Amino acid sequence: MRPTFDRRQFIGLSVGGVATVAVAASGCSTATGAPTATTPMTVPTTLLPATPPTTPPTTPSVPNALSGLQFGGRRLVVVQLNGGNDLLNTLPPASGRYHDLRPTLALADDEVVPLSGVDDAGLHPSLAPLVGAWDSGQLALIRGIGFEVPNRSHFVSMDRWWRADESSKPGWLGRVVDGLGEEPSPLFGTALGSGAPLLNGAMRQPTVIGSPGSFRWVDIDPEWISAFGDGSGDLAGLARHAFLRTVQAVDDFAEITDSESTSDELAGREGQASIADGLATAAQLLASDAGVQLVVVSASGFDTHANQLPVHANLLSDVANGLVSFMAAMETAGLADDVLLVVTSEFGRRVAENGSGGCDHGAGGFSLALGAGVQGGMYGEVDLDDLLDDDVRPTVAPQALFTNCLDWLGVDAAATLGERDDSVKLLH
Amino acid sequence: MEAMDERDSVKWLHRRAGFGLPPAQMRASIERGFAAELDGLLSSVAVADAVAADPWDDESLPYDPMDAPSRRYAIASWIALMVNSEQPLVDRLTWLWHGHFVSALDKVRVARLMVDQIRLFRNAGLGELSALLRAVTIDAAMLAYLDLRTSTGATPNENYAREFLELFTLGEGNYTEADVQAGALALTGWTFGRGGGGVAFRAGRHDDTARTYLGVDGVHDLDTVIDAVMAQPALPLFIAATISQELLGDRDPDLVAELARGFEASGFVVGDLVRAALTAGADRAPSPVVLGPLPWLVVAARVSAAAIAPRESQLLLQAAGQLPMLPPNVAGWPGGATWFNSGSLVARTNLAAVVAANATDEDVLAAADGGDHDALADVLGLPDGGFEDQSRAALRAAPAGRDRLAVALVSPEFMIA
Repeated sequence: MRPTFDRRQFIGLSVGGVATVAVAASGCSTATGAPTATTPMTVPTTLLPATPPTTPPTTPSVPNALSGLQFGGRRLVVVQLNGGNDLLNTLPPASGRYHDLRPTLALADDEVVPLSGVDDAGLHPSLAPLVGAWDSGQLALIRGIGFEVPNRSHFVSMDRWWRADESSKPGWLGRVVDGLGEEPSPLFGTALGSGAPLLNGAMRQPTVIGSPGSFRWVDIDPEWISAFGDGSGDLAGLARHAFLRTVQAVDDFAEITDSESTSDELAGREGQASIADGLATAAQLLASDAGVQLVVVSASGFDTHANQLPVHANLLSDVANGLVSFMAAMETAGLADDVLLVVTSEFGRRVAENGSGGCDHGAGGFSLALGAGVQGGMYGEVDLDDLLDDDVRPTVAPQALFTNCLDWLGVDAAATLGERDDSVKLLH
Repeated sequence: MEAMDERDSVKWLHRRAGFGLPPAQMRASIERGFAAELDGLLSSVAVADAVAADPWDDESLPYDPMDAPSRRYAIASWIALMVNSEQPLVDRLTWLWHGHFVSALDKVRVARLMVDQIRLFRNAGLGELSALLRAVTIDAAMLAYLDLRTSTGATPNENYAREFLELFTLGEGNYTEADVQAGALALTGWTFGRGGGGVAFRAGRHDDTARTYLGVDGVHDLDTVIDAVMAQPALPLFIAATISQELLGDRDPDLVAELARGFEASGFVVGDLVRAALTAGADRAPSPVVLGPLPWLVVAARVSAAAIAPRESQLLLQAAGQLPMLPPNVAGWPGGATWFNSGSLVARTNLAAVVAANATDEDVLAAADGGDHDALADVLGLPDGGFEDQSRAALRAAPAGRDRLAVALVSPEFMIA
C-alpha cells in the first residue's frame, strides 16, 4: 500500500484556517449530504499555527531516505477511551429530554461550557481546557459516532472499531503497517497503556509499553536475548522475532526518554498510567528520531455503570489536560502541522440513567479530531426525540473517521477499509 | 507432530493441567505414569485437600475498600499458594475460572471479596456447572464487579446479564437483546450491605414478573435463569471450547463437540469434562499454548524452587500485563501471541532473572551450570527434544549458572507449553 497523496497536496490548504474544502487526488468527494460542520466563527488568524509554511514543502511523497519517515512525515495519534465514554455528558445537549431522562446525572445548564457557534450543545466542564483549540478552529467534535446497527457488547464493539467492522481482517492501522514495503522501526507503531489491537497487523505487531519506567532490562544482557535469533511462522518463531525487535525497541526507548523515573509504586490500576501520562510519553516518542509515526494511547475506566458524575469528571479532566499539553509539546517540537490526534471509544451510553448513578451501554458515541490540519466544528447529530432502542442513534460511521485518518497519512483509504466513507470531512 | 510418548505426556499433563514440578517430583510422576497422575490430580481427596489448604488469614483482610495492604496481601498469598500447591489441578482450574468468570480488584476494591471468589473457584470449580454458575452469579465480588448489586426492578442494570450470556455461558449469537433485558430483571434483588459480607436477596428490589428468557417461559428469578441457560444447546459447546482452548490449546470443532456430548452426559460435572479433555489431549499431537506471565512465573518458580519477594513479583507481573485479581476487563486476558508484545517480554525476562537469582533446586542449578542443554531442558520439565538450535545459541551466549537459567526460562520452548 503506497501512500497515494503527498504532503504537498495538503500544505497550503491549512493556511487561512477556514474550511476551503479541498479534494485530494484520489477523487474523494466532498461531504455535502452529510451532517454539516458548524464552523465556529471566523477563525482569527492570530490563533493559527505560528508560522504558516511560506517556503516550498521539502518533504517528499515517498519515505524520506534521510529520516526513513513514512506518510510524508505525518503522524497519527489515536486516544482510546475504553469502556464506552458517555457522549451525552461529554457534549451535554441543550434539550429538555436530556434533563428528563437523566434526573440526577444531567449537567446543569450553567455548568456546561458554551461553544461559540453552537447552540444545541456544549462541553463538559472538565473539557474547558479545549475551548482554545475550538476557538482556533483546530478541534472537530463528533457526536453520535457508531455503527448503523450497533452492538452493546464492549468486546464486539471494540472489535468492530479495531477492525473497521471487517471481522476477518487485522486492525485497521495494522493493515497499513502490514502494507509498508519493509518492516518499520520497532517503535514505528507504539501502544501506550493497555494495548491496541487496531495496530495489530496480520504480519507486524506494535510495540506495547504498559508503563515507561518498566521498559528496560534489569540484570539481563540484551545480547543473550538477541542470541535467540529470528524466526517466523509458528509461535516459537514469532517469539524469537519479537525478542529481536524488543531488544532494539528498549534501546531506542531508553535513548528517547532517558528515563530514570521508574514508577515503582504498585498501585494496581488505581495508579494506572493516565491518558495525560500516556500522551506525554507519546509526545516524547513523536519528537524523537526513532521513526515513531503511529501511537495509540489507551486508558480504561469509562464503563460508568455506577457513580458516574465524579468518575467521569476526573476522566475527562485527564483527557483534556493531556490533549492540551500534548498539542503544546508538538508545537514546541515543530510538529504541530504534522500530527493528527483523534479520540475514540467503543460506544456511547444509554440515554436514560440507571438506578446506580450511572448509565448502561448505548450506541452513538463521541469522537474528536484535533490538529492544525483539522477543520474545526461540530459533526454528527443527536436527536433525543429519535432514539434507537433508547440509545443515541448513530449518525456518523467510524469508517468515516478512519477515512479521514488514512487521508491524513496519505494512505489509500479505499484499499485499506474496503471502501471510503466520505460522509464527514474533518480535514482541510 | 505425533502423539506424545508416556514420559512426555506426563510432563505435558503437569505443564498444562498443573504448574509443572521440580525435577525430583517429576521423575516420581513419570514412574507412576499418565493415568495414575491424572487420577491423582482429579481425586476427590485432592479437591478436599485443596479447600483445606486456604492460605489467607481473614484478620488481614478487612472489609475496607481503602485498605491497600490487604490487596497486596491477597495477591501475594494467592501467587504463593499456586507456587506451593499440592493440588495443582485445582489451582490451575481456579486460575482458569478467574480468567473466565472475571472480576477485578480495581472495581471490587475490597480484597476480601476477591479472595472469597477465589475460594469459591477452589471449592466448586470442578463440580457441577449449574452450582458454579449459581454461586458465581451471587458472589459478592461479582455482584460488585458487574453491578448486580445496584440493579433493581425499577432500574435494572444489564451489565451482568449481558456478560453472563456473552462471556460466561453461551457466547455472542446465542441470545438476543430481549434475553439480556429479561435476565437483568430476573436477577434483580441480590445485593450486599456496606460491610461486604452477607449477600442477601431483597424481595423489595426484585422484579418477579415471569418472562420468556432464552426461549424458556416463566423465568423470573435466579434459579429459573440458571435452569434456562443450562438447557441451551450452546452451553456445553461453549464451556467445552473454553476448557479445551485453555488446557489443550485446541478448539478443533470435532473435539469440542465430542467433549460437549460427554460433558452433558456426565450431568455437567466440570471435573469429568477436564478429565475427558486431558485424556483426549494426551492422545493427540500437542497444540502449543503460550503461557501467560502468571502461569509461566508459577511454573518457573515451582520447577526451580525459587521464593520471590511478593513486591518484586507483583511489580514485574504488573509490567508484564498479568497481575492476578486485576484482569484488564471482563473478557479476561487476551492470551496467545499477544504475550509476545515488547513490554510484556521485557518484564517477563526481568522476572526470569529474579527467579533464577532465587532458584534453590539443586538439580536445576547443576544443569544450568553445566553445558548439557538437554539435561537443562529435562530438569525444567520440557519434552524430550529440548531446546531448538537457536535457543542453544542463546544459552551459550549467557554465562553458565543463574544467567543461563534466566535465558532458559524465557526461551520459546519454556514460554510455550
